[in-house]
Amino acid sequence: MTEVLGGIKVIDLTEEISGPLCSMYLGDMGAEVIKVESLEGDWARHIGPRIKGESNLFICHNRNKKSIAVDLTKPEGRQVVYDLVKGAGVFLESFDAGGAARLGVGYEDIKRINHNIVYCSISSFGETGCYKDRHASELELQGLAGYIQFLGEPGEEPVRVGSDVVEASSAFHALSGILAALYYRGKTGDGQKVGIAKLRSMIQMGAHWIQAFCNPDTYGGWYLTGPYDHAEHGYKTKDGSIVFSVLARAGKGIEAALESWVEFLKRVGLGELLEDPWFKYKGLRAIGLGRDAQEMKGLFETYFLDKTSDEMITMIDEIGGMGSAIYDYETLYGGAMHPQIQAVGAIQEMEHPVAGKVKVTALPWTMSDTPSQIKSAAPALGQHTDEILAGIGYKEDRIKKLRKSKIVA
Amino acid sequence: MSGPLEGIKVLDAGAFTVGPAACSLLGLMGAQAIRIEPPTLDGLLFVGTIAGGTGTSYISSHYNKKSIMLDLRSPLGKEIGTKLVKWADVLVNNRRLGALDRIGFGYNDLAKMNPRIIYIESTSYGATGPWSKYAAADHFVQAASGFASVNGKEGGEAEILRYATNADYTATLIILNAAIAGLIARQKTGKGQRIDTSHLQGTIAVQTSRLAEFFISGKNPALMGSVSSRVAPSEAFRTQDNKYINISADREEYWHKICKALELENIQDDPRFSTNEKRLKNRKELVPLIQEKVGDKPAYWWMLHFDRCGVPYGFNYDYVDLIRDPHINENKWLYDMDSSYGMLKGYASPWEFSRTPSEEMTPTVKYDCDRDEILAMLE
Repeated sequence: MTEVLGGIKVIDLTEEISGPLCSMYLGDMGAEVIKVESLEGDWARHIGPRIKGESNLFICHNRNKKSIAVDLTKPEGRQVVYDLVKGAGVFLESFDAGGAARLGVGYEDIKRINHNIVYCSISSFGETGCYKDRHASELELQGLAGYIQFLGEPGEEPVRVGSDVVEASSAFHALSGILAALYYRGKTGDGQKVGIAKLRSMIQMGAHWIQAFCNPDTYGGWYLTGPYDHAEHGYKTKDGSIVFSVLARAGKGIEAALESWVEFLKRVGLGELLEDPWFKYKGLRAIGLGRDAQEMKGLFETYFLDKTSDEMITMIDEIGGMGSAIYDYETLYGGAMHPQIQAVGAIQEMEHPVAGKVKVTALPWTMSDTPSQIKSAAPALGQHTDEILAGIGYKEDRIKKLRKSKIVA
Repeated sequence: MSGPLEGIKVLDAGAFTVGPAACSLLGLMGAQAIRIEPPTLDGLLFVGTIAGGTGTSYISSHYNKKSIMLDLRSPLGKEIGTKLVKWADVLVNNRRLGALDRIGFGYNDLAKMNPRIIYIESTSYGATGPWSKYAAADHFVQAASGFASVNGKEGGEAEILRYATNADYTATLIILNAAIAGLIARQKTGKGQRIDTSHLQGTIAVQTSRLAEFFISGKNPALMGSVSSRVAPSEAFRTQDNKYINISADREEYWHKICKALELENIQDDPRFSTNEKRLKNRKELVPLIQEKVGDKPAYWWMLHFDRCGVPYGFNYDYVDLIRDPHINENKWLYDMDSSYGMLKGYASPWEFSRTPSEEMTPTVKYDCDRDEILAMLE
């Protein structure tokens, strides 16, 4: 069976989340990923909750990889990386703030050895501009990218996005950059460097709200697209909360939306509001998402409280709207998992040699002719050191010597 | 356009943001993208904030493309549509499940017209399962995937991230990646293929790190405001002038720098705080010590001081902060761009390709405005 990246060797010096997530997907698509770690190992090995002593954060971001531990601060350690690079297709690093060049593994260093390599660098702020030497973590970058202003209440303590959206978005930007560069190399034979700045990735992710400020004729927070529209906690039902919009399935024109709106009010027993002048004035803006809708929250909820979230969503779908209950992790991912999570195959189970059966998130797409595969669990630190070194022609006594002088482990 | 995908041709048969924005990004990488606008018109044209008579989220979903309006159900539309499919390398579809199949442009039809085509279908919640019949948009996928359930202040309720971009654009990035993977596979096999994904899968993928915690605990993660679940300190602190500044010690070296910058060297090796694990456990004792220091001086002072000391920090930006940020301006990551809708915000390509740099983005055109040019090209 053809694998998309079969035959491509990836030398991956990244740690923590964005880089490892990116190279994990390269591995899923068939690349041979060699994870080059420091003698202490990827920082993710040491943080987050553990299972039988193993960090699950590490397990969930490092399947389909081989691990070699190398001391990069020593010239002999760098030489190991240079030797690995000779047969590689991709090099990936996330040292941040110019750290790779200082360690002797910048693009210029690596290109000298393998001029056709696709070299990807992930950093907080990129390599030019006044913040280029700064490091920032998920929290700081969420704030700088304008995300934190969209959670919490004005004047109260800030609320961040609970998920690591900066890390994940940067991983997908890095992955697409690497894939595009590999495509180009497949066509022309030429490699290149792909630079990913996490903050710049987040500006791309914010295209909608940024464009909403371009130079608009009117500032309209009708629903869905108004950057400051309130939908934050949804509406309480008998068994939880929902978010919905009767207008959201647009494309059928304003008349169809109006019909859905009238139908919605009748179904929830609020038909008399159609005669209410305030409601008439606010009209469609009072349904579902948006500031005006939130003003209706108390009233809506009195009619939702004897209906389950499922009943509400079914009804909203019937009249041409859309919505969802606000699901928690236990309902979706606990036990045997929610049938929809099962249906999309988003979570896969695999065997880890120490941790036993573990659940991991899968590559989020499926290809009919070149399917991805989960072949091996996240490696132990230096698990493949000997095998990898033997693979690039190092003799046994040389490997022993490197181990003894603590260059590799 | 120039870029790594120069020469690749893309058809945008999608709706709203998820599919169309992926075609824009393929365009930013150098592909030629054509938007097929249905005669019913896209829902984003009329909603939200309006610029030049058009919804700004339509504008931000369609740059780097040419546009033609086609009714794929009509005989003429079918004929032109078929020519476009033969022209294209990639077709992106995120319409409702089965919408294109019903009008004769599903994958089986397309593969007959052009066996080299890479067809990507991004559904809302997947093609099977109890939710497959539902449509979705950003907020609803945040709710359905658990993404919203981990946002919120301590002791409060779960929160939706209030603007419609992140879940949408994540699904967009998945399509982008899948399309290029399909192109690489085609370099090997010479054949196109079908690729399936969903809005739901993308939003689950970005939760990988939080799910890693859940799969151990089996319990819903607690809502923690600005506080990180695995690094301490990593949260917002209030300054003397009542602003918030985010500080994180996401490596031991930064913990040391924070201690030095805040003149808290005495607690650096305190047995309660000497490792990240201990700081997490003893966070309630640690935070007041830092807050006391931060609260003693204004935000501007901390900015200068943390720059000097190499502490990872940042403020919570709004739009004005963003467009005035010196780093963003120096790099021209945001710039003004004239268009048929008036002045728009352009932004730099998220990839810096050393050999095949992307050009600046081309602004979104009015729908159907490239009709003659596209028809002439197909002749």
